[in-house]
Amino acid sequence: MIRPAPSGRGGVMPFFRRLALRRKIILIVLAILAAHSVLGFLALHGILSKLALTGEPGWHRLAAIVEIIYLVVLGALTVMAWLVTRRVIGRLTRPVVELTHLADEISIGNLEVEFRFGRHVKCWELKDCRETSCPAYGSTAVQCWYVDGTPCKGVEPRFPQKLIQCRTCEVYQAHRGDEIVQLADAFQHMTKRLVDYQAELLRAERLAATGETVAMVSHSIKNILDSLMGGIYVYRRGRRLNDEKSKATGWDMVERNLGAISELVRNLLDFSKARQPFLEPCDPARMVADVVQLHKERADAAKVDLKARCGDALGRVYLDVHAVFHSLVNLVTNALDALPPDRPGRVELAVSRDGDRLVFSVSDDGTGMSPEVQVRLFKGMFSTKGSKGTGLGLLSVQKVVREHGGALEVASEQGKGATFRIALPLVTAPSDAELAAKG
Amino acid sequence: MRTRSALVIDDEADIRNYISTILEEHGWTVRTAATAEEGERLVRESQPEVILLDLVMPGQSGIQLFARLRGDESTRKIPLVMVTGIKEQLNIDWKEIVTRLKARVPDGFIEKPIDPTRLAQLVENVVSRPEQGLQIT
Repeated sequence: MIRPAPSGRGGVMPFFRRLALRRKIILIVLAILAAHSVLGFLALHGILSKLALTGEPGWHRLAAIVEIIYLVVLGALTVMAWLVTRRVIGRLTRPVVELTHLADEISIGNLEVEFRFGRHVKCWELKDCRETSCPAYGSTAVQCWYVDGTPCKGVEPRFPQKLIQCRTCEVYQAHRGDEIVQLADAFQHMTKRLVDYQAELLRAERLAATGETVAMVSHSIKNILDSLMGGIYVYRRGRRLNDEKSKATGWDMVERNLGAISELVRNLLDFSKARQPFLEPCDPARMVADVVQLHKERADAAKVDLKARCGDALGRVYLDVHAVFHSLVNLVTNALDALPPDRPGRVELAVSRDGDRLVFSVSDDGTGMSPEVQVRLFKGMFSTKGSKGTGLGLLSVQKVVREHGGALEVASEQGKGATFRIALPLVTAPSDAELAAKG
Repeated sequence: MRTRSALVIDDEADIRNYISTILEEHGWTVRTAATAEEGERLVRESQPEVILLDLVMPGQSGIQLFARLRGDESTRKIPLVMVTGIKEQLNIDWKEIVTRLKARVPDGFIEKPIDPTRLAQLVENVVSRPEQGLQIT
């Protein structure tokens, strides 16, 4: 949000200096007249009061009239004085108030505030400079002594070193005279530097994130390839020794790791694509049952009690079927991976309605996560699976949920398992019977 | 011929299978463990002649298990080969761990992707010349 600050300089003297000469004269004459009027009335009232003491009724009446006029004029002058004082105080304090507002905006993170305090001294005009390649040339965003790389003679190239020489420069001198304006300038410069640093930081973070992603993906591919080589090795050995068991084991390893590569590529594609969800009518209860069915064999082999639960009669809803299905597959896979291999475990995939939200949840009674791990989960590629995980799966789940305008939450306690909860906006779709009735 | 026993500790079933197959081909009897905890139990139970330990595992890591095995009088002399997928992890400050435990570094390192011939050779080397120091392949 850009919040413009008012133009104009603060203070009585700067205000007076800015007035045109005619207005200055009128203002001075009015002030003298006002002072003379008050003094004149006081003198006249004194003379008439003394004349009234002689007992002449005419003098007495005239003294009363003058007294009334005096009071009216005095009242009017008081009101005028009050108005003028108010205006002067307003002019005095307004820049400070505006500066305070700008500081508030900056403190809440809005660094795009716009400063319009005071006049901007155009150095190239004042010094009749033709150095159009100078970074300060033609710029009214920030004063030249804050700009690095100006080709001024005998001046250091960078701020703040150059400030010592700039203070004696006529451009700097022309800008002086109002502390509020100078304060605003310094403040504006600090804000600009903050914006620059922020952009630099963002670039560095992006580079680091890209590097981290490449490293994690490369590591993951390397692991899969290693297992794949292992599978081929075991299969060849089985063939050489005519050992059917070894051949079957090797072939399973090859198949499993080809699947892992396919899964990794799919996650990468899902994660890298910016897309709108493709909403289709679907039955979420059916989707949950399908995901559980897909993992049944693995769960049974690992003695895991894997269940699907549908809390309500949900009917059909609009969802990006492929993306949500794949997200649930990711979460259930993670839950199965989190179970210790030395004891039977439990995983439940549930779907229910919560007000205007469709809620999927995946719970397990596995190893759980510490609060520190939970915080790190959604902040880049992070995995608790050691060499097996890339952290891409959960990031692509988060992306799908965001695309739907939903929320992804995790609740976990170390040693007691975890629950991942996806809450999506519930948009009901007509059933087949309703569609048929509508023709 | 005397049966030689090895223990492979790795969270990935396929890698366990792969290493086991290589070692079995070279005459080793291999037991496997999927977690550091299970691995430690098998070390104490069977006292293998060599341990192949994955560096990065979920839960308790290979480093933690290494530190415990080296810190225990009954297991500190068993030759141990670290299996790692990341070269950078070799930069772990072994000196500090070793100083703290007053024990020697792992006897060998093998980096993934695992070359069967090199792995077999490395295991032979660390078992036959345990005092040779760190061997990397």
